[in-house]
Amino acid sequence: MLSSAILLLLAPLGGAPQAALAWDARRAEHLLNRASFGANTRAIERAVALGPEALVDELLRCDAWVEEPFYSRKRLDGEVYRRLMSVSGEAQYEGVDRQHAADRAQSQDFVLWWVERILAARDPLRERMVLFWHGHFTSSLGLVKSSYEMIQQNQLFRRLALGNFRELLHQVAHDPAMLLYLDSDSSRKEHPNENFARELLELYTLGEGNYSEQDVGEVARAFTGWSQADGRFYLNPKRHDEGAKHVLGVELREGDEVLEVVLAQAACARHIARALLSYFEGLEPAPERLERYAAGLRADWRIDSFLRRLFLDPDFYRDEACASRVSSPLDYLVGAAQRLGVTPPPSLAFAGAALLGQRLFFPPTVRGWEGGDNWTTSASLVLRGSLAGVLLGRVPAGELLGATLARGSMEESMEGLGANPLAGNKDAAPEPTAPRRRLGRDVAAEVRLLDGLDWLPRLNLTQRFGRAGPPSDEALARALLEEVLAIPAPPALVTRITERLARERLAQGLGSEPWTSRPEQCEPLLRELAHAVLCLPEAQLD
Amino acid sequence: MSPPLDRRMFVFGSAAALARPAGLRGRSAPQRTLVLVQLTGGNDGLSMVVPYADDVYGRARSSTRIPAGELLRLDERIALPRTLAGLHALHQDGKLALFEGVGHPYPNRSHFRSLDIWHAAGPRERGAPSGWIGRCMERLTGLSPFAVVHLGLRPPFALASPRQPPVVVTPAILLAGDPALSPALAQARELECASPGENPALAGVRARWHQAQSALLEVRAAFEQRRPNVVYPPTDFAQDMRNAAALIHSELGVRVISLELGGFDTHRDQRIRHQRLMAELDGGLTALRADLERSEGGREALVLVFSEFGRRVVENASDGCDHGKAGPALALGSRVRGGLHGRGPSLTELDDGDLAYTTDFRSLYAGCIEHVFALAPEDVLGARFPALGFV
Repeated sequence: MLSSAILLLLAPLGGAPQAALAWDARRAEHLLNRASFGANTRAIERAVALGPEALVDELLRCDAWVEEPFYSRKRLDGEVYRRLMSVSGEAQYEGVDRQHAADRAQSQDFVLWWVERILAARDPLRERMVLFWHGHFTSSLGLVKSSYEMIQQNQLFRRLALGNFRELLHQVAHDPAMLLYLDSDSSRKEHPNENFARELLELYTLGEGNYSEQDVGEVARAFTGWSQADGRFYLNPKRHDEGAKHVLGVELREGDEVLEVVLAQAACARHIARALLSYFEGLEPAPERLERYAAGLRADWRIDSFLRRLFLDPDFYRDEACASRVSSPLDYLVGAAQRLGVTPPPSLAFAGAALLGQRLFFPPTVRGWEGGDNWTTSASLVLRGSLAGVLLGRVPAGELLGATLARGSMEESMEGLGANPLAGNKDAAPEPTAPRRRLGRDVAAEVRLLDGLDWLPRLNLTQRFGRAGPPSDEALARALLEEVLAIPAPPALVTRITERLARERLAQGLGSEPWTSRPEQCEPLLRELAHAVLCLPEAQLD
Repeated sequence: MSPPLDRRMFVFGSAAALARPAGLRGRSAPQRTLVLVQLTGGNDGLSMVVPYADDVYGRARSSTRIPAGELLRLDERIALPRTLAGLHALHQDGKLALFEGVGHPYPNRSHFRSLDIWHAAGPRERGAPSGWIGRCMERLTGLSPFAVVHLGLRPPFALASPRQPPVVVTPAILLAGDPALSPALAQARELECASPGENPALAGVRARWHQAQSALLEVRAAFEQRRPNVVYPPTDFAQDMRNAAALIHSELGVRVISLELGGFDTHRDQRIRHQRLMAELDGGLTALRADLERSEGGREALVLVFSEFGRRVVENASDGCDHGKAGPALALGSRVRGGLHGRGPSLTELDDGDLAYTTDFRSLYAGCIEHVFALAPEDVLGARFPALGFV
């Protein structure tokens, strides 16, 4: 579907074809880290052989058609709501709970389907862009409160992930989840709700400083009456302000016209180009480069051609941009799984990423996930290591959380609620009668997923590193680091691990035998080292 | 050879054996602590400090109005909703300082811009490395690595400081089982070393990594050791309060604890949502106050409650209120001079439909900076703001 569009755009705008791109394993891995979700050494070898153009073509050539599971609407409104309200008492409560549980289950099922695609590297670049748009045109299930609309929005992102930004923007403005998330749905001409208008200008299209407060008010008027029902957009004429509005110096009436006026601003292409460049490079773009990419984007609004230019741009591979982006939780977990060559259940990657601050369908604010250093809080740095332990089969998923839960350390204050909460008696601090789980506002559902998880990786590092003949300790150390890390093996670490292998060789009485000839001793040691390496600062970058 | 190892790294789970940060042992008087409670989303001030006697309030609000029967009067003009009964009692005891119309001269209805202004204590300059708390910390000496703790996922910019970054404690980290975790971390610590010429991104992660290793285990131990004599309500916010009290009573040298209560962006269905939030806030703050009142260290703690902005005076058609400007703030503590400070905002002389501010939020900061950190406020804030004498 996309290949014809790509061929037309092979030559970058305003210049000779970028033939000067040097191509090697380091660059191939860089591209696969950023455009896909990481790759193991075999995939990198293949990518080197393919060459950059063919690899980028392959990444952009996604399935024309994705079979997405069918879901129905489970929002508690309309006929469902009326029916529930007609019964009374306990039956009504039960009905409401049932409805909510069904809706939660549905959203979870869909997100797991999504994560499964990411883990299986099905259309990795498209799924990467679905994730990007989810963080750009944010909507949260927490406010939308209905899985169906969230799923529809995700499908919209998937359909247009690499397509035309102009079309995507129009569709997002009409998207039921967005209408609910930013309150357009309840905005009336008497009291226009500015939520969508403000985020449209500030976050989705222009960026701060490129519009006035008055523009926000006028845009809000233009979008009054944009409503949704039964998962579909409709214009409510009674709520719609028909009058003339003045937005960015243009007189107009309708929301669609607002979007066109916004798209015509130079700031819009610049804002989107900046978002894409800083997402894929992990750095703020230099001004001239940003202008060049913004101009390219504005010419056709095609995301695929934008990305093609980027991935074939030698600047994308400059030293500063390589191995220097803090991995998002999904990049860390999915990347580690790819490199180790294990296929964890999607619930592990989904729940793990959520625990690390990247909960799909729940962006933390309308600004999405801010990324960069925000990912590496003191808490997440420690948790990442324990999740890596699950991927390696060294930490059972259930135990990851079990130790704390069983101890009941946080729980005693939840008991004894019948008593006067402030009548504290020094000698009679309430004792827990039974361990209660206190899982925190945002993690309960994910923890439940991890709790029931019984999974061990199918993994044989010994065999893999021995495939080219018995390695020396140093070669084994290097192979391990190259396989496990998304960045080139740091020399000092190669030395440390070589020393460790030598010490263990003595301790275990191995003599001069290669490690790989003793799988019983080699495999646990390699997994232990891989686990330790995944805890290191070096493993937090891609 | 491995470098000398920090002993703290290897006492996982063994709370009694934990080494204390140097410089804290043998300390005489408890140091003061600041607890920052951010009501994220834009707290509707008119539903928190209700100007019940003003006709304009009744006219501007219908679905979001708090009925007269649900109000606890503070005076002839204003009242608290009955969901804030605990705070009302604190007010009667003179332990609650109340500020109305808190804001600033740079009103912006974006959550992010407004939060930035609160966190930077003024317009945030692009690339500015430190928030207002960070700037305070940079002026203090002998701080423990645990001086600034954020309970939650994302630390606010207020805490940012290249020299004294906050320790971040999420609910999830409390779930990380150390028995499974510690061997790998100990291994990692043994392997860890910088390679020559590594890029700044890696150096940055490495610095945070070192801090993370020791910090979380000690904080976790502090939470586990403490058995408060007060029952905290079973809400997430109250549990954060309980953890805050544990940190205040620990010997980790914590000077600032930051946390947030979210959900205040009440564009629709405001009344029920806001009431729930007020009840959660009240339960948590009241329990914390009772807990802190019982110890010397606790009595030196000051709690500051704020939000990035208030909401519009006139409600919207979705039974909610849109982003506005000035709003109320609270300060609680044994050392607080209770009562109303500053002037209440006018409901008729509005700034573009919003309450105009009567108290610059940096006056509150000035009080905290002087009282809690014994620093000169104008040094940190870059200008002099009238002290309100609330502490």
